[in-house]
Amino acid sequence: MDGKKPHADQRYIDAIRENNSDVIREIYKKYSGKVVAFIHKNNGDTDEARDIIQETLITIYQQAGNSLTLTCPFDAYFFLLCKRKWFNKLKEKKGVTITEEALSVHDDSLLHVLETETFEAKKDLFESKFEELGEKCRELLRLSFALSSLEEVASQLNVTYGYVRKKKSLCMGALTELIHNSPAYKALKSN
Amino acid sequence: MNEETYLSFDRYLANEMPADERAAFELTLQSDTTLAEKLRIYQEVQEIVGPRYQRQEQEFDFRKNLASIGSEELVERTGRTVKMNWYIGAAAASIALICAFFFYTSFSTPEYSDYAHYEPLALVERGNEDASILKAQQAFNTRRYADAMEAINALLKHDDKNDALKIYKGISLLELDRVAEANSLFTEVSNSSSIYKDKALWMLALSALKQKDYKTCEAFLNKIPAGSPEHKQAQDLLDKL
Repeated sequence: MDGKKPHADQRYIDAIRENNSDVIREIYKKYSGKVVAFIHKNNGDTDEARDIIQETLITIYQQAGNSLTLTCPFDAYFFLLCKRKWFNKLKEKKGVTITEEALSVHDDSLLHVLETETFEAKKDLFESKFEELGEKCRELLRLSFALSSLEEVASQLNVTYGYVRKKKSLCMGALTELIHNSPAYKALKSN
Repeated sequence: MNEETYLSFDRYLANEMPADERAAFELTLQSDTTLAEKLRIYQEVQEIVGPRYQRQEQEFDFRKNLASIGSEELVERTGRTVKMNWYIGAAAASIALICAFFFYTSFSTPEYSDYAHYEPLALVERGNEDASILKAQQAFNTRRYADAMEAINALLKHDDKNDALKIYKGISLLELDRVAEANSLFTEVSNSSSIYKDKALWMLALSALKQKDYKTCEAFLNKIPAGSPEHKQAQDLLDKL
């Protein structure tokens, strides 16, 4: 979505990133009803709708912390994300019929949704492989992500900058190998 | 892949390669698709996983905020806003589930242990796998109260107004026989306007029961108002005292 002007609804994304309660309330007031109605119509209840909305907003929050520029109306993007998340949940249950409803999809919104879903799948994969690393690597990487400089990491671990830098590359390398060799990565690549 | 490869990824991404080395590296990337894929993964891990660690506390706050707004503002298809019952809201808000107790009717003199059966602590909501929350929950639910207290303390550092956490910390203290500290927490919550204040009174009563101080126990039970979720079990215990 590079090069396109952000949609006016980018303000919702910014507000989610900033945890702005007033705007988040506005999102619930304006857009949750449609999702609840949809989930009711497709074998779900209000509590399940509440969970789907919450999970969707958390995914948007996480992607917005990375980079997310909206070039379509928020409504279309948000609803489609919730809808697809719900369908994925339904697929896990057996014996459930899905009532597909006609939905006109704004081209950009589908692209955004796919982008967000890819982001989420990658995040889940990276984090699950991260947990497979040895404890030393996990600690060093966690610190190097959380602190603003490798100098700080070195002083916290009481080792030299050179050591931290080299070790970080090698731990990142080990993580890269784990990800690259996983079936989930191959599936992501073929999408 | 040898170690040198990853050290070169690091220098390449940090823009530290001299021009000729950089050009040669980029040429290799063009012909070696596996190498290019791995460089991409390496870069994406930094871009995707990195910010989550930088924003861990903010994300925790966001999740909490969302749970509370979601419990108040969700719009039903009819257009009305569905507010949750406080206890469902509390669970969704990942603060805690209510403590529930089993009743034993066959004992003539009630004992603390007859009533000290706590519903598992359920702080983790779907999709929320915060490690520190999980630690608190696992420790409490497996009755490792010292560990539970330590983990709950860590959570309270970021969330010092969370009365549910205070109750669970109090229960852990009580189980560790640190009665005065437990009572001080329960008293604090019982004097607040929190939805947990009656639960705190109930816990003060149980704490007194544990010390076999039946008079104090009775006094706290009598303070639990009718209509409170704790009222029935309070009356039940009063009948036996």
